[in-house]
Amino acid sequence: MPQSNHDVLYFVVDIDYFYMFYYFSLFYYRLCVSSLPTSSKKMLSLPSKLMNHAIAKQPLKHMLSKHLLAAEVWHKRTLSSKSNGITDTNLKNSVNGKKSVEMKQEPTLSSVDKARQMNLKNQVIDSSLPNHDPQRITSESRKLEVKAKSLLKQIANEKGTDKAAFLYAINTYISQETLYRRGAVEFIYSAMHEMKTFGVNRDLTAYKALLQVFPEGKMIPRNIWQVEFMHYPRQQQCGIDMLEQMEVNGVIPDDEFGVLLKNRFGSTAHVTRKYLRMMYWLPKFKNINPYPIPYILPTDPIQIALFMLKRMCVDQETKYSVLKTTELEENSTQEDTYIVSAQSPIQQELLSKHNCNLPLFVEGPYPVYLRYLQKHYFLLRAEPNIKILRQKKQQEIEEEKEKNMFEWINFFDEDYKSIKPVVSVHEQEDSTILALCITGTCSKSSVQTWIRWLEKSNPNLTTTPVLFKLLSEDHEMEVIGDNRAFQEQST
Amino acid sequence: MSALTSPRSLLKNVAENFNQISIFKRSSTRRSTVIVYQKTKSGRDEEPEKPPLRKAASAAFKSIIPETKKFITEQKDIWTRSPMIECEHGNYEVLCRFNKQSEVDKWIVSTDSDNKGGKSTAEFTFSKNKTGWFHGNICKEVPKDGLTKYAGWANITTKTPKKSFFRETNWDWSLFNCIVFKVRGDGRPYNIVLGCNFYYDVNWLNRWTFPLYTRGGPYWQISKLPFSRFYLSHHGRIQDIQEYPCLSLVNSLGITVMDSAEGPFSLEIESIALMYDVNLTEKHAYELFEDRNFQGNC
Repeated sequence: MPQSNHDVLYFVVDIDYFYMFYYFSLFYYRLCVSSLPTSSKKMLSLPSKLMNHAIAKQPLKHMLSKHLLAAEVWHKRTLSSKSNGITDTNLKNSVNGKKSVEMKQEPTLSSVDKARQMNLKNQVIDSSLPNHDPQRITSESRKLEVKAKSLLKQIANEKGTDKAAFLYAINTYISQETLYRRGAVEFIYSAMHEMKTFGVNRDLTAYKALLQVFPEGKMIPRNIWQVEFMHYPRQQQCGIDMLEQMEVNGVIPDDEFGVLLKNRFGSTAHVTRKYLRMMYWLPKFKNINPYPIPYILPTDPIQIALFMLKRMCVDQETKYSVLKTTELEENSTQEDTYIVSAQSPIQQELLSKHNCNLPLFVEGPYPVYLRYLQKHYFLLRAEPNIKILRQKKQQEIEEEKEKNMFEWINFFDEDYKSIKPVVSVHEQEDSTILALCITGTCSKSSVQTWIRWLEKSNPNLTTTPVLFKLLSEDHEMEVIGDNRAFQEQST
Repeated sequence: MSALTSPRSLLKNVAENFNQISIFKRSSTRRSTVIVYQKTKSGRDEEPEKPPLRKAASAAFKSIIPETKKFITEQKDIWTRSPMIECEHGNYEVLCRFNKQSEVDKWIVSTDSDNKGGKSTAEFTFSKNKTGWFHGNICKEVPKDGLTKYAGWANITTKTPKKSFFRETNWDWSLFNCIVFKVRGDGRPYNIVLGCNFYYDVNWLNRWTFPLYTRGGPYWQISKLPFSRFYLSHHGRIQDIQEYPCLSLVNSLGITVMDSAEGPFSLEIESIALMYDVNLTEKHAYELFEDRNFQGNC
């Protein structure tokens, strides 16, 4: 039997005034039993009436064992404290061969820490059963879980890990369990655990198939009391956990899922309420992202890199090109990777106007994310064009001043100097961005080949010095660009 | 029966044990029914220890002069400054512009590793670009303590605003209808969290949230989040009955990273401002009417 000090909490929480007296009587009864010597323990047994009640009602039985256990834990604790108090004298007496109570003195921990430790002891490594309620994990359920796991493993070995194999596993389980659907909860938990390996954790049809493991019609509550007291609690909790996993993975259920759920748990059960809430909220946030990401991400790394660059580049005219290093370089020593480059005509123009005496910088790798995918990008940048930026800022400040509110400029008086300088999106306060790229390996050689490729379309690049400021993997992150020059000038 | 094993002494022990039980901040991972007893009203683990009387007295004595100065400036402001009564389209107020080290220090950083709930790390520093830089590493590895279910978050929050003599106040944002961020992110979504200074402790953990999506890359972005879009959540759980954020009582503003991606994150913030936009006529984005069927069943 799993033991945990966690029960201390439950004891108070679950106080139902209806059963309070019942619990307390059991508690005291157990106390009396445990304090008596072992020989007389056998004489006492639970009153038959109570035992019948406990056996007939499963959840009650659960409660009962829980609190008996709690009592046991407390009793042990008192014993240990007692023994610790008299250890010195006891040890001296025990030389005669008498077995004294030997308990190790535990370091003082808070009760929550103790509960955690106990939980850790009970936890089976790689168990898919949720450990938020350790009392519910019995040896029986462990056996069923192992059975379900072995079934999944066997099918994964035979048919591979894909969606068809996953659906086949569910079908074999259902065909094996014809009448009672024994261990449905354990099967669902272990299948949910394995979903990522089968690659179906973001697939709604897989969840629909998994939901059909629950028997139909049996668990529908028949009155309000059953609804409120969570009819078939274990099964409902399993269903709620499944919905939560869907929520975490961004899977939005549909009406068909709801029909399946209502056929199993009724329209008022806790699981169905969770489903209703999800159906209310999730579609609202479905298309909220202004920089949208497709639901199914491409598997090809080049496509992913292209998608990331398209998301990053503000300029709509940007041209994207996919390159292979082996095609560009004739050296056999070059590694075989891809380069995805992005440069717009405006950036080319800025590069052609660039003063050849000033250096350009290649910086990176900086991380970018596309949902859960991570890649690194490099950028070719120049120092910011402070003159124009400062001019623009000063004009903006002057416009906002209240003094100049009534000073209109006549058409004939208009001077070319009063026209605002046009600044492209690429000219920022910290840097002028000239090109972006993502490479497959993030290595220095691949970036060098990218620069060599850029020289073809930008002849100015051949004459200007290019500095490589590359961060190693262990290096700490750094901010992009440097706007100190602009800040100092403007203040 | 000896004195130690008597039921009365045992019950005493039990009572002592109950006092020891304190609920951790991340009690939301557990079922809410478990919460019986909280040590402090605000849901903290422990009450901060009181300093000895001598230290407290000296600290109080030292703070008299700067606090009175603060008090005088406050009173001056009341009489000299003309308050904003109405807003026109495009009026804005800068909440914080991170061009000083002191501006960055006003924020508190917290991660899941603070209370043994994970291994994420985070920092909020003043970068060389003269901006606030929220960066770190998100690790989604769940600690094997048997209680935690998810891990991997980091957060920065403002300190609670205080008037002179350490009196807690709140900001009045009721004139404005949207919040504007000038940021440079890394493609992750960041959650903006608003908290209010409510009287009753039931409402203390009410938070209004809305995601701030970033595009990633070297370009700066300016994003405007209307307050009508912020949704109400309590203890991290979205609520059935929604409310418009109580903007006259805003107490805290936070930014959270908590998404599916693992690895380093960085969010460079230049400034945060409040703005009034006439075109945002929406009162609240979510249904406010009472749906009898929905609330009755759920």
